Amino acid sequence: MKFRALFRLRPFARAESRAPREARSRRGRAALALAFGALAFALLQVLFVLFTELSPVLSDPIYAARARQLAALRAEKPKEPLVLFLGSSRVQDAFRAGDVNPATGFNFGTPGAGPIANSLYLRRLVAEGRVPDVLLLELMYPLCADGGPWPQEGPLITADRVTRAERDLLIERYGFPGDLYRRLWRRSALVPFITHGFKLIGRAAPDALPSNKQMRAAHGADEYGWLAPLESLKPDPALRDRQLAHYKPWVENWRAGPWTHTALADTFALCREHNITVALVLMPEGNAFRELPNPEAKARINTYIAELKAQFGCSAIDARDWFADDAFLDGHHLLRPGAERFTARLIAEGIEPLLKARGAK
Amino acid sequence: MHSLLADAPAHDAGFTSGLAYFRWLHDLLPAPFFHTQAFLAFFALVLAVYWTVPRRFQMTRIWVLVIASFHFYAAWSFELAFLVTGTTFADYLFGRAMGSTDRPRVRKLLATASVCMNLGVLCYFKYRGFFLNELYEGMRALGMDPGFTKLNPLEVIVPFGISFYTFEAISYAVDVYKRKIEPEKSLPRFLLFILFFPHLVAGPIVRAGDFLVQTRRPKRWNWLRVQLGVQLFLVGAFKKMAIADRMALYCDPVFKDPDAFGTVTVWFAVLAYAVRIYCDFSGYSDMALGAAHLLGYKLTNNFNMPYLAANVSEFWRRWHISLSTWLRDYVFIPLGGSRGSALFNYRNLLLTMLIGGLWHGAAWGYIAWGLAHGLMLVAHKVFQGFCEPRPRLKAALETWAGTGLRVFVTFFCVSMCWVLFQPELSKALAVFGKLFSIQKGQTLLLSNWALWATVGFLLACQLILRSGLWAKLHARLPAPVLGTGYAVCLCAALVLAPDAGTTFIYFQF
Repeated sequence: MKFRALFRLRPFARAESRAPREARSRRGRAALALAFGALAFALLQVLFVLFTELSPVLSDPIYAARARQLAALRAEKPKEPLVLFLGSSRVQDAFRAGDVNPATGFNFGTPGAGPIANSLYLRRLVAEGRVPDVLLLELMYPLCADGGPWPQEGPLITADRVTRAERDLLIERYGFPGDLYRRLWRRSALVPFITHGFKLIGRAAPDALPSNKQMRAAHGADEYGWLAPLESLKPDPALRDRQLAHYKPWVENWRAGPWTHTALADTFALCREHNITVALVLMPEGNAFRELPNPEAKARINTYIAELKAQFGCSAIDARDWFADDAFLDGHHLLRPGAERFTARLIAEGIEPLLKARGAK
Repeated sequence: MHSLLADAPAHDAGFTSGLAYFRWLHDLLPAPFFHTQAFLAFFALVLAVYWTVPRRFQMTRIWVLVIASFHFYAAWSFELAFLVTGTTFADYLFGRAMGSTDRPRVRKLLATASVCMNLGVLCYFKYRGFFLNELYEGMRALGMDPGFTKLNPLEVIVPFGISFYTFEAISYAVDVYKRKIEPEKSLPRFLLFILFFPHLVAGPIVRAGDFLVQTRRPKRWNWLRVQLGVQLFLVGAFKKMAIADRMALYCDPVFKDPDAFGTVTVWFAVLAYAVRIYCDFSGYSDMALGAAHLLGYKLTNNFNMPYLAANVSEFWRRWHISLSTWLRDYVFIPLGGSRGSALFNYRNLLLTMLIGGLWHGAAWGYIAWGLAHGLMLVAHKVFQGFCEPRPRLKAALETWAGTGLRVFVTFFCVSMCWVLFQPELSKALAVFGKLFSIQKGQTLLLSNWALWATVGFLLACQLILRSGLWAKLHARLPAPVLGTGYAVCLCAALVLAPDAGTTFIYFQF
């Protein structure tokens, strides 16, 4: 009663019969409940937005799951040098990071990640204090293609996945469409429960979502981040043809896009700042994928790689032709035996020399 | 449902500017769904204007609602909005004409004309395609040339809510004819009775006697009523977004292609569909009731925990109450009702439910659904007759376990009938084929525990409501707790809503 009395609007009302007073009290209670409801809803919205701004756990669960795994691994082996492989689903399936020895390897491959996403992820990791010693950076050249006014990765890095600062960075430096992206970001911030709803369920009760919407990149991955392809999988020509059709428009007449180059430059600058040794990696591809660019485009890709090596003073591991077609599920995602062989060769030809060079320094 | 605006020709400048206005309106409010942001903005505007008008300008407030309702419908299709308004005006004139004469023959003629006009419009839009296509198929089967082409059912535009407002108009004409109510003299009040946007597109089917009286009462802002309205709206939104749309993920793929799925998955889909259709329609009704309360009007409660009914007869007293009472008053009783022999009674039940099925849609699936419910009602009557001279059996059925069994059997039968509740009877039969013969097939990408959790949650809510616990608790909860509950309910609805929401099932009727 005392609590209610606090909210009574007319404390000095004249004495009245009990019934009208009760009716007024019930009306007051109703108004108060509605006011509290509106306030609580607004507060929950603000808290949700603040939470997504401060932590990617809800806004970008794919990144958050990988980062959590990496944090756990570093807690186990804090002294060993860290070899981090940033890349797309090609990396996610192909790199058995647990084989890296004596350093700690971690597979930070996430679906659809290209140079811009990798740059964002590295910024976040560095800000969280997870600085790798050696960084293998996938050069996913289809995503480096000139996509017209916007970068190819634009539709993949949706506005609800980034913070306000990241949004501004994407617009200012990486050519994301300013008005549209700001509007989408504002919308996701205004109705966070709608935007992040399925991510929240995906975190709390993933089985309630269809498997293609669960956003559980780390689900099924080992402690080193490798999402091992199932042993039972076999090359699937129909799937390969669908993938080829998907990538063809990006790759056939490939030209380097300006935005991804800026992202790569930013990544290298960050690496220099934190003394990270970097190598570019071109992931293995089946013959059909390798033949997808026309001869001029192929030449442009090779020139681009050479220019990047020269500009950033890094090595580049070109694994595009390491395997025959039967090593792939769909022409560009390695099957398990291929992944094991790829890892062994990458360690021998790429990681060990990099670690030695770093040790010598 | 697509707008007619896209195909509308521009004849002159006036028409074009009018068209541009409605096109703009359509962009603002593309679909008349209560749980969209566009509707909430529209509703907020209507509320603000409506309550800003001083109470003494009662007729102005009514005009505000009439204009808002017209725009609500016109945003979807302005041609059909004019059609609905036109037929409503004609019904008003028929009513006035009936009120102005005491000659029984003239009154009967006027009432018949009103009913025929409404049924004519309904048949033209809703049943024309079905009957012409059946005629086409029949003539082709007999080797005759139909002389016309078959209509594509997807191209036939059925105005939203036509079955609902047609029944409202018919009940008005009949009630005026029978002198149960006085004909409405005020045109805006009558327009509001039919066009009132909270009940326009999917009911509940309101009666003139209940609604027109309310238009005469001056409306005061009442926080208790606002609270009730908001509560109902939130509960309805939760049912629709968090439960019905989520259940659609389980049942839609299976009902679309039943042959592709295994028997167990199909059983789960049938259960999900039963939950979905209840939450979809009762959720919409709750939102309609809530919206009406916020404007100071009370609509008929359409649902009363139907899945807790212990027999089919009770189910129909709890499910779509406004339709079942309409069918009782304007079809079953005029047919003779329960008077006369048992066989006569059964015939009336079957006919009434058949009309009920046909009301839902012009397709064999809905007709079979209505017939199945009619047969279940007859079976229930027969079983009641069987139990009457057997007091021990009757007592056993009245026990806790017996009631539980009856509720389960009723739910099972009703759920089986929902399989028929779709336009294509062949698909319904394919589902039955899967249900009753164990066959392998695909499974859904979803986990079944979420379905069980939803069923459990819904059952718990209904039991808490039925036991009266919620009423007691609600009266005692402090305002901040209640308010936080509203916020959590809304947030939960938004979070649980699948990213691709579905339309309301009952909008097609």
